[in-house]
Amino acid sequence: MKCLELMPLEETVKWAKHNSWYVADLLARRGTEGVNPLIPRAEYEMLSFQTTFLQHPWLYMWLGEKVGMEGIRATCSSGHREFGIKTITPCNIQWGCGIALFGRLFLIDGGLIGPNDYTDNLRIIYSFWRTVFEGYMRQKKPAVMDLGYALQVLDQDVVEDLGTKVESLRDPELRATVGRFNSLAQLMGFLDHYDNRLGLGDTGPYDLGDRLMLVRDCFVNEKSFPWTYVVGDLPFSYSLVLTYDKKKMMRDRQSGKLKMFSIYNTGTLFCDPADYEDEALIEAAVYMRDADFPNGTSTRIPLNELETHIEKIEGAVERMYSYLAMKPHFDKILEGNWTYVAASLPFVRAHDLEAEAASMGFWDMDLRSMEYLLKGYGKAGEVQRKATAGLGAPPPQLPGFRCRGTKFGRYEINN
Amino acid sequence: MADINVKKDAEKRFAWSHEEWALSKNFQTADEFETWLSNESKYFIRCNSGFYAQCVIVCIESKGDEFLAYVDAYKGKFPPWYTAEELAALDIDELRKEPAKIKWDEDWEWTTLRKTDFPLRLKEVVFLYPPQEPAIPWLFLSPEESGLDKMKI
Repeated sequence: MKCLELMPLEETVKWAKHNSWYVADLLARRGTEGVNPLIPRAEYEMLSFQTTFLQHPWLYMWLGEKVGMEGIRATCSSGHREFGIKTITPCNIQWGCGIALFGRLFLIDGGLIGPNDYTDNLRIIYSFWRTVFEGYMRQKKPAVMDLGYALQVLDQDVVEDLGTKVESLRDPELRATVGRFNSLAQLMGFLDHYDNRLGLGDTGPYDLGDRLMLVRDCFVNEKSFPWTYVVGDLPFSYSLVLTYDKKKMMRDRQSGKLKMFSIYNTGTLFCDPADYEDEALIEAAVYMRDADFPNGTSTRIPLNELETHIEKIEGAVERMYSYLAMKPHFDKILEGNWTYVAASLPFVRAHDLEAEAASMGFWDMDLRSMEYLLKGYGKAGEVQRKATAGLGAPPPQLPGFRCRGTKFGRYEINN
Repeated sequence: MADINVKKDAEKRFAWSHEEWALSKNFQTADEFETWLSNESKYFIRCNSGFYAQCVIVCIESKGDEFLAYVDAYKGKFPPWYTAEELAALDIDELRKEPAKIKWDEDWEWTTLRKTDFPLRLKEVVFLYPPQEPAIPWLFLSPEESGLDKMKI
């Protein structure tokens, strides 16, 4: 019988600690960015993290029964050949599971559960995550950090083919147009996903001999969200293929000018110096895709036709801001919640099981998560800080181990 | 390294660990253990936001009791909440040369060994993770580590 093979409980310790490092690493970087005052992010994160922690274990077990361990490993095989789809983006692939683990932290740091509650959920989530990642990156590692912040998903022949289709950015006017498009497409991806990173993601750097290459996907119109009608004239995704001068980067790394050029597990590029990307950028190509895998196809957009798309995105951004401004606060918590629940969509889409998963309850809410939201609502901001800063992921308490105890300090259950 | 026996796979306490050591070594103080662990750890996980990390499980004998405990150690600050000025001044390449410090905070769930457990006898060390394997070494590692410093470009 096909099934998800579960790791022993004590192995979750290994993954929890590993998880805490790269989450801390990422959030320290993310903390340098701004906050959108229109979106109650702490509150919707609290709800959605709890929803996925409580509810998605059934989904992962069900997928195990449907497709088996090899099927789970093959979840991202489409992302090895295609881009502009969610099975290539680490944010979706990782955070489908990762946010569920945050749910545990929110519940623990909110004093609502202890580290030894829901340990089966913990085993299921980590087991599924580990198995998906065995088939995600070329090197089959569980995190980008393990590979020195290079996220190589696409097969090399695909990369090399893309490298032949880029256009030079020597013309300053064209370069500025691509720059505007790049910023707008990313902004729209963010907005469509309630200001979180599920709306975009970079993979790479890929090595092209004399150049490095990134592929940047911006999911500007996720068609499973009801607000697709607000942004309906946009394609499902835009993608940018960007190449960089490798020799310059090597020289700058040698001299110490370039301290880092790192892709994090959310598919986010962080550079030091912060504006370095543009300095090394030499070529680009833009694509759009009408639907997520297994549907849709990618179409290349010549760079001299970008203005039309810029206008379309500008219009959609404006409509989306109006939509968010008019939306009642609590509705936004619910809608934001669904964007994170949707982080597991690629897992079902990869196997063409989206409709069946929906009929099984993919979009239903486990009412325990709503109950926990109401109990924790007043301290969502504080808990978010603690859970993300504390990096928590506390180990479950195991026989033979000295542990901190469930009744003390941050583990005090006070509901 | 002479007194450390690297266990074979069949001897491991946890099949999923990266490497396990069996040894018998007495430590009088927490400082002595901290220096030893920093020196003997062959690698740390480098995180670009400003820290190098290692977490091990130890098996110790202390005050007539034997138990497993977590020990979490860092170079740099963890959590990595640096101010903008601190971050600008931080050289992550250079940080690797510093000794690692154990995070002894009382409420830190990933260090459950306590300073009051000393003196103790260390019997096992379990390394949980393999070292990083950079896909593009010259981009990730310091020029000195990757050999970029000696390369003609």
